[in-house]
Amino acid sequence: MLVSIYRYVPEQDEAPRMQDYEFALPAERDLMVLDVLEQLRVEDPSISYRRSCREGVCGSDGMNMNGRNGLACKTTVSSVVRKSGKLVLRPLPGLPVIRDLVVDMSQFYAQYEKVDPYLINDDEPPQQERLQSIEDREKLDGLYECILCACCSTSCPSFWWNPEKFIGPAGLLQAYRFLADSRDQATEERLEKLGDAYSVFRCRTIMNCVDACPKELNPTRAIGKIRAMLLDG
Amino acid sequence: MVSTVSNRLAAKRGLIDFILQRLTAVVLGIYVIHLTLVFALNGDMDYTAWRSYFNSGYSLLLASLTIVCVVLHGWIGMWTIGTDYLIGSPIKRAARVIYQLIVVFILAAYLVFSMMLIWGYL
Ligand code: SF4
Ligand code: SF4
Ligand code: FES
Repeated sequence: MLVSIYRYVPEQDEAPRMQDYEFALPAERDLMVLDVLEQLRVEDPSISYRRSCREGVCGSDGMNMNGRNGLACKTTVSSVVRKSGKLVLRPLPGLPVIRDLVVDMSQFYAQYEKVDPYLINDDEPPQQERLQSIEDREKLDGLYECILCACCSTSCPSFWWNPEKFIGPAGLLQAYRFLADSRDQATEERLEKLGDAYSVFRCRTIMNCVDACPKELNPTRAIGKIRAMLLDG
Repeated sequence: MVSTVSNRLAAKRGLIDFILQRLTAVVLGIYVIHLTLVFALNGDMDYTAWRSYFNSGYSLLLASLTIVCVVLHGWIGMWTIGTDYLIGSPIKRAARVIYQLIVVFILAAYLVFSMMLIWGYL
């Protein structure tokens, strides 16, 4: 199988290029894309990418594989290569490249920070913990699982065009995670920050984010709920 | 004072645009259906029938409302497109100023002429 990898070291290279490697796939089992990278790196230690947990938990190996964003550690080679016979690896689109497949996530984190991603509750903390009913706790399912891998936001055209102003699907999923939390007391303040022309409303419901999320979360639905809350308010 | 009002408006602009875009779309939809029905139900409209329809008070009001909605709907959509694609470099931002002026010009001309037309000033 041919593996084509985006190579770019901004300090050295004039322009990014694609470098091809030949890779012998084992016949008896399907590898994960990350396995392929790890083995290629033995041969060429200059290939750079992030990885840590290798099991879809840390969110560090988000990349673009044959045109689709996902986590290399939980994406099988066969599912992306299909009939093309070629594996094409590029960094997450839209973010500045630090080196090869490693991107600068500052913009992504800056948007995450904007939504105050923590519980705001001014009441005296109880001895043990703030309790929630089972139903209230269930409202957070499908929201708290986000691992901030950025696969969604970097597949979103609105985020490509306005990364400084549009919060993006990952940040908005977390915004809703705290809006939906029965223990949070800052609902109004949170909503007040979201009614401008960009933060939430740049979302055009293209749903690339839903397609990209390796944790099968649904940022578009969360964005819809935020819009509904803004309309109610 | 003025700046606080405009800040407050800016803080709600997304929401206001979102609502306006949908309301105006509903009006446009209603007008299209309405016109189709008028033509379908009246068969061959001769000049007098045509004239009396377009001179009736309700058709003038509905048409005027529709024209205003086209302008609002058009502006929100075109402004959004401009602020998606024409941002960043000074050249692109200059292009956006020109683009927005052209859009405003076209929408304003459309508003004035179609109003004059249906209200009989042309
Ligand atoms: S649904 Fe919204 S947030 Fe998700 S990819 Fe589309 S525009 Fe972006
Ligand atoms: S919502 Fe999904 S794709 Fe987006 S950052 Fe979270 S886990 Fe990654
Ligand atoms: S290496 Fe941790 S999510 Fe893939």
